Amino acid sequence: MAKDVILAANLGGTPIDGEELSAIPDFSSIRKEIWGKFPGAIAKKTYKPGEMIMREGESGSTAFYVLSGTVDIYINSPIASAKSKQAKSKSLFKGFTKITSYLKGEPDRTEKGRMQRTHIPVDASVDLPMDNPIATIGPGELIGELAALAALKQDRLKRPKFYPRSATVRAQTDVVMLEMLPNILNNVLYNAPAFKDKLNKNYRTRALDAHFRSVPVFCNVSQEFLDKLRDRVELVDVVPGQVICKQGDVADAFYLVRLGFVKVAQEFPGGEFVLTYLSRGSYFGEMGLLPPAFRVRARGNQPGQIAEGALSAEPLICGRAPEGDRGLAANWDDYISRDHFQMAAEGTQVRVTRLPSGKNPILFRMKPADSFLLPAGESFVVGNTTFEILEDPFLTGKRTATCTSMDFVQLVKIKAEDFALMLSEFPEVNASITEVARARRQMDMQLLNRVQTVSLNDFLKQELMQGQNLLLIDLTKCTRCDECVKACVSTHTDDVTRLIRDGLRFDKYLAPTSCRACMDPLCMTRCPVGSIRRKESLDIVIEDWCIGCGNCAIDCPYGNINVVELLINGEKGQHAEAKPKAVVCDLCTEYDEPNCVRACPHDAAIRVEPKSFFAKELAGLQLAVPNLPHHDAASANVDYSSNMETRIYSNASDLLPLLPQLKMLEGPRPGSTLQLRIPATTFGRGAENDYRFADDTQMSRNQCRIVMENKRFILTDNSSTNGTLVNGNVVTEIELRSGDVIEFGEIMLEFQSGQIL
Amino acid sequence: MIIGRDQLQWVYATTAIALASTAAYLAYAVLSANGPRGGSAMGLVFGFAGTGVIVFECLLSLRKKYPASPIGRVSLWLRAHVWLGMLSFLLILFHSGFHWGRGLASLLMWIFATITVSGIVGVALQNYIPTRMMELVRRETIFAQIPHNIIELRKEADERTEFVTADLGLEVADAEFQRAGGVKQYFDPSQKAGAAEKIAVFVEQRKNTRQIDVGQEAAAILRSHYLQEIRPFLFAKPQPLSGKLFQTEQTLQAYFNFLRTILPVASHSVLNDLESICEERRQLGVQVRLHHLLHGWLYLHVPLSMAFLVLTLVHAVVSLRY
Repeated sequence: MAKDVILAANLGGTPIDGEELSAIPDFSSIRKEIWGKFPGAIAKKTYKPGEMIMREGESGSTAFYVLSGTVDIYINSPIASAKSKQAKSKSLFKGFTKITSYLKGEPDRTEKGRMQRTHIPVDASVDLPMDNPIATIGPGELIGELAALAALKQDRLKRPKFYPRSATVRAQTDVVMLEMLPNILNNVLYNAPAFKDKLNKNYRTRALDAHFRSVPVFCNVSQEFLDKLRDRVELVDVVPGQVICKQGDVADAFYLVRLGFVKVAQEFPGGEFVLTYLSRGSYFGEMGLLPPAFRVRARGNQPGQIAEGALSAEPLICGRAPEGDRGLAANWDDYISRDHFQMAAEGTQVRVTRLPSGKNPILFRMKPADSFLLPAGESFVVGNTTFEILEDPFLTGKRTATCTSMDFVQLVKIKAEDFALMLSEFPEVNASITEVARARRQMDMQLLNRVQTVSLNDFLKQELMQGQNLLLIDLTKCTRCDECVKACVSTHTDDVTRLIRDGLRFDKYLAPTSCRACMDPLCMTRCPVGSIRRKESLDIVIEDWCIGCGNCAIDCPYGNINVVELLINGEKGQHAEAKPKAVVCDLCTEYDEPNCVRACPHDAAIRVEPKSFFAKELAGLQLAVPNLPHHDAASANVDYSSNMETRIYSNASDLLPLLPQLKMLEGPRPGSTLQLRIPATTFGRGAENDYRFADDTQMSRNQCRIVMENKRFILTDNSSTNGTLVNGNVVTEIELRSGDVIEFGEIMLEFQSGQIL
Repeated sequence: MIIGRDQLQWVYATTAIALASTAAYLAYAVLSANGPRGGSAMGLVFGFAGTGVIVFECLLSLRKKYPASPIGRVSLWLRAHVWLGMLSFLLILFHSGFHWGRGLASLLMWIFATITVSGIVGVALQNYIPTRMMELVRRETIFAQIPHNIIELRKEADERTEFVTADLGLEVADAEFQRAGGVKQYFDPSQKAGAAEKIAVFVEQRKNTRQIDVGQEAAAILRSHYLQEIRPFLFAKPQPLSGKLFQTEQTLQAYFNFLRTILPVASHSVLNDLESICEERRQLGVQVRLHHLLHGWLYLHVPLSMAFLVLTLVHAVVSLRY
């Protein structure tokens, strides 16, 4: 319905018929009759130098094709944070200022930690440099492709939903342009192979270099390599909703987003988690293509004799007491020399080399060897110790997330072999991309820790479950003093609060309007300049180049993003200018904790992960569980996936037995249960453990841990002094089965695998 | 600040210091030839200790100004403020040797006693009122937004009543308030136009004709009840008669039950909405009262504290100089 409104729009300008269009060289391959099927869908327009063609933030659903002349494309909004605070003192008082800044808790607002982007993506074939956001576009180029194609997705809407223009376009010379409705772009031009080829060729020759270099990690790639890459990359078009790559598939290519939005999501027990939405200038697929990362685990033949270390291309010295920072110590084995051998990753394998100081031989496949390569999963023996090579679960050559197109997406596909060649030829690119992968891997791990085991579908009308980091106010403690709001105002340099102390109530808590860091951040799906993004810490931030179009504010289902008029300080001598900018709670990422929480005098404001916090209230929920008798379900070998049913659980006591847990047989509070955490639960006397038994003198500081791997629970003893027993046997590592009895320190526990996984 | 078990360590610490100070004071009082006096060495020690605590107490407002400061959470400062505040009163009593004094010293003692009592009352209120507010005011809003919400409720009530009575002949002159945190801006012209057109159609229909036909007589009854009793309640300062009619949830329910018995069933949906609107207005009134009660003591506590600090300085200078 909405699409019909858009396609019936009157373009104005000079009407142009099929004859004239066919005479244009770029369109010569399209038959004249086809133009006749879309009357009024294309118009010729002329512009004088300096005349505005479109303004950023305006709504639009048409694309422009430059026939002759050149245009300037630029961003008019100042790229700056709004600042209303006083300027810093002069150098005379610098020391005093530092002390007062420390006491006030002001963070160091340098560029550290900010996104190191060099270009702003816009809806054209070029990206705009951050320092001077202006570019020139000439004949044969398209502007507004994304806005036009987005209009075609609006079948189900009652009213048309327009995309905002991402940049301002002004005629530089006398310009002749064709303004076209989306149907011309999609049904005629894209269907004409010659025209599409020409667009792609233009992109390869004119825009690929700049686009590639606009991505910070690729800025060091040489021109020769780009020339080589130019004809080898594949330009891929994807329709909305199409899966580009699936989690778990073998990685075969790296993708650069040329146009549109791509959703990146991971599947976990309990549902899907949207990691991010990628727009032009972003890339994905590198995780599966990076060389695998390894770990080495040394295990002696006595309980508790275990040590682990990470492997990289830099050699890791192994021995009884290796010198230096990088070393793996197997201090329990007298047959191992102080510095016995070294290990280093070489491609997809690990090389082990005996050092001159290593006296006893290394046994690999039952034979002594001084230097050899071995893949992950294999092991070798030195003295009484076995060394096993393990692979990082996130760098296994497989896709770590599912990527799905949100729009008509255009991608640049770089084959795996070309990507590998680039990494080997350009060590700095390799280092940068490995660093990005490390950050993303860290985010995955963080995510795993947050996601719970239970399937929780829409259990609250308020959709609190969408939140990852929810601000709650305990109404029985809150004196409505608004210190939280004042703290929010004073935290941000623009003096605008991100927190409004009003919202829905749940139990005795108020969930005020403040960003929830949603599992599916819908606010990120339509930003025309890619200024809203998710940080590695999963928090949402809006970068300074926001043009204030308001799309994110409209898309946020909870009304937690506002567009406000901010006074932006101009250059020296210029007046401050009011510009619309979107503002959202960034969870005070520059600080140790959100200031609204820190400022609350009554400890009423708290930030929580809702699923854990409301664990008790979750019990009355609709859950998908295996339709099996309890004694069958308790068996670890049952295939749960085949026979699921939905049940309503009205209280916690019904729900908790369904989750993986440990029942206390002996020790403090016998009969109580300890819920297992995903992916790992740690036990010990130390405060850092998930379950701490501070008074148990028989227990080590870090006694053992239980890790969930592919629906299996692995118990590992952390080299504890008195060891860990499972069913009466001393173990270093064992897969747990339901009913197993675990003993360590002075406690005895029974493992129950539960049903919901 | 909620007084709970988590405050035990403060109770122990404060009690220990208080006992130690009392022991020191008793020893000093017994051994001193002229009895305890503020000008004696020990009296000055108590005076300086008490003043030091009072200065620290006053720093709480400064600490609140910089929420991210690394020198302890605001909640920790508030706990210290409450417990050390009570201790300081004891120290000042020891300083004065339990004499109220004359002139400036007497004034200071009265002010200090008022500050301490108001602070204790404040803590007591903070322990009681938030829970009551949560229970009694289910439709709570931001305090500063209450006048705006009342205006919106009145507009809504007018609109709903006009479904039965047609145009009430009221003039709309309420200024639009800007939402806290800024106004959402929509750049989609079709959305704006669509919404405006729809609203215009509805307004015109509502004003021109009765959307719900209950007969001339019933409409006139509702109109008179609405204009004389219900609408006067939907103001920032309700008329006394209406305020009394809708004073409690029970009287409000009784009033609308009465209207439901005298008006036809067709109008009951409008009456239900009006009842809900009046109930919200009533709760906002309760919120205002509780809010004033919760924060009213601060109007005494804070200015007196500032005055006390200045007068203490004068007292110290005058006493030490002369």
